[in-house]
Amino acid sequence: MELVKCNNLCKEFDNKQVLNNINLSLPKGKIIGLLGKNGMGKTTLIKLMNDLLTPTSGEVLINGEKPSVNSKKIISYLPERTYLDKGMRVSQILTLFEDFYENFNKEKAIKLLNDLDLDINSRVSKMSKGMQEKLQLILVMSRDAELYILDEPLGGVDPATRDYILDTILSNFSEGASVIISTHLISDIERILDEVIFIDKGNIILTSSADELRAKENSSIDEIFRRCFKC
Amino acid sequence: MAYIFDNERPIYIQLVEIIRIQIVSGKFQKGQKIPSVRELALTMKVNPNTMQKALAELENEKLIYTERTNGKYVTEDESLVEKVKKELAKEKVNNYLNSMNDIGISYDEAIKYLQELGGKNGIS
Amino acid sequence: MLKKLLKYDLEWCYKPLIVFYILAIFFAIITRVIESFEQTLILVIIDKICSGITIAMMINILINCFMRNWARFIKNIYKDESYLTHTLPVTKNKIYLSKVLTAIITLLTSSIVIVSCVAIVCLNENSWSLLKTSLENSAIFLNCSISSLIIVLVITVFFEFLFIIMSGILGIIIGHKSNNLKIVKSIICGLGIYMAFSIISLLIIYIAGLLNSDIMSVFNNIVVSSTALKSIMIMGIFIYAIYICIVYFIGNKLLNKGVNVD
Repeated sequence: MELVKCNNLCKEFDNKQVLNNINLSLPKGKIIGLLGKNGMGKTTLIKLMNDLLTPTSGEVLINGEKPSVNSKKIISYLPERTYLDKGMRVSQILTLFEDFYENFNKEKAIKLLNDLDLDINSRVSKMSKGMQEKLQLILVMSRDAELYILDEPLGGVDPATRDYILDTILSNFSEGASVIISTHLISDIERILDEVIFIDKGNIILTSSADELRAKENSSIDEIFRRCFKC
Repeated sequence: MAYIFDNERPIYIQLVEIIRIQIVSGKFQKGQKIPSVRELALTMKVNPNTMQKALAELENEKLIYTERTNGKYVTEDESLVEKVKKELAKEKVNNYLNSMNDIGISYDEAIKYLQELGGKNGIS
Repeated sequence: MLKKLLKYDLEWCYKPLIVFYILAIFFAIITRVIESFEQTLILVIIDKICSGITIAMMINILINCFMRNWARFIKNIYKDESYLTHTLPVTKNKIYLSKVLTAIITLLTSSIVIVSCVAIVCLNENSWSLLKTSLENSAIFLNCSISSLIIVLVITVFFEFLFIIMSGILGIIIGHKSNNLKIVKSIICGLGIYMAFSIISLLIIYIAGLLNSDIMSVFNNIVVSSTALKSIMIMGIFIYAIYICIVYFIGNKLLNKGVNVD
């Protein structure tokens, strides 16, 4: 069974079509790049998988089931914004994650936070934006999930941090799990992708294995993407 | 150690090349156990699936073999490693000669350059 | 899971409330202590200030209790934090129930603190006997015991407040179904729901009045019979209880249809 399946998925906002009849199935055990320019529907698709939006028509199935408690147990989701209660301390947030997620590995999270020299007694509101993002990434990657969904994990960070983020993702996702990474910064990320999905104006333009695409077109995914969406 | 990959070619092919060189150069000894796919992927900072594919390719070339439950080992077949080494050497020499040819240097002159500079660089 | 949700909801709502509770009780005690001394001008002034602060704190507690519950709901269900709330492996039923229980619990403790403050400041032999006689009079008038009178009064007031919070929450849920002006629409919907139900209550009492001339006296007489008042109060409690259930189930149903967060 596919891990994620979209059947004729549509989403409208105020009669504006944001996703247009998406049919997609994503396998287990792959790192998948959801690639598209900003505002083309990447985040909408991801939010639909996470029960943060309801489809206008069609459906999203996770392990054959609509988003539910079961799907939330196995999906570890990193949104593009900070979703933490700013008044809480890092240690309280760790407890919160431990309280709700059975597959949250607190020791791992603490170890990763120590690597960053982050004091777990500090409040989220006292941390810099970049630090908050790293904290969220650590929380998300410290879960033994079956599917990690990372929305723009590289947006707006410096190259050194990009390396840190990619390393954290690669070294921490659990074996056999799939990772969906949405981004418009393709060159930084393409070396770790198994599969690529190009999304544009609410439509899936292309799905392919990354290496096959490179071999076929004899150029980088970034290059192919640029060619595809030349303005 | 991080490697810089050429995004224009399939990553797994590049991995195959890197590991092949490590084997023929003796960095991976004959008969040595190689780290798990995941570990290798982590050290080279690539996707474990891609690493898996690369190792499968190397296994096809018989440069490594799987011992059922124990993991993967470098081949003990010395003649095979020598053969691969020769092929690689041929390829490199060809590349060298071709690029020399491109800048208008004949075969004989190219050899001279090799002798001159090779000695200076301490490579014998 | 409900317990854990409740823990975090209560923690968030009580954070400022506890401070106000302590301040209110503190100033109530000060007022009481000062009043027990012989009155000099300076003490009278301090007394006035302290009692003023106590009253302000009590109002503060009530308003904060309402606002905190609504703010929690909006932040947790529809704003940035909703990205976490809705991805926790918990059903929406439980999330909603936890919010409603939080409202009930905070309202309960806030009421207790407010009543205690009033008691601390005002309760002496004189006022106690005054309160007692007025309660006794009402009880005799309504032909019931004092305790049942107090219970009915407390329940009515409590239900009224709870109903206000619940209407607000339902307003927020409906307001956030649209894609723009969410807060404005939430307030309008909340007020609308509250007023609509209030009008319905009047209508129900009026219809009851058509069947029972005693009750009708509320509408056309200044002097109301005790039996009429009694039945209206009992009816009021039932009506509020039913409203609260209706609002709860509608809210639950709407929330379960899924959310659309920004």
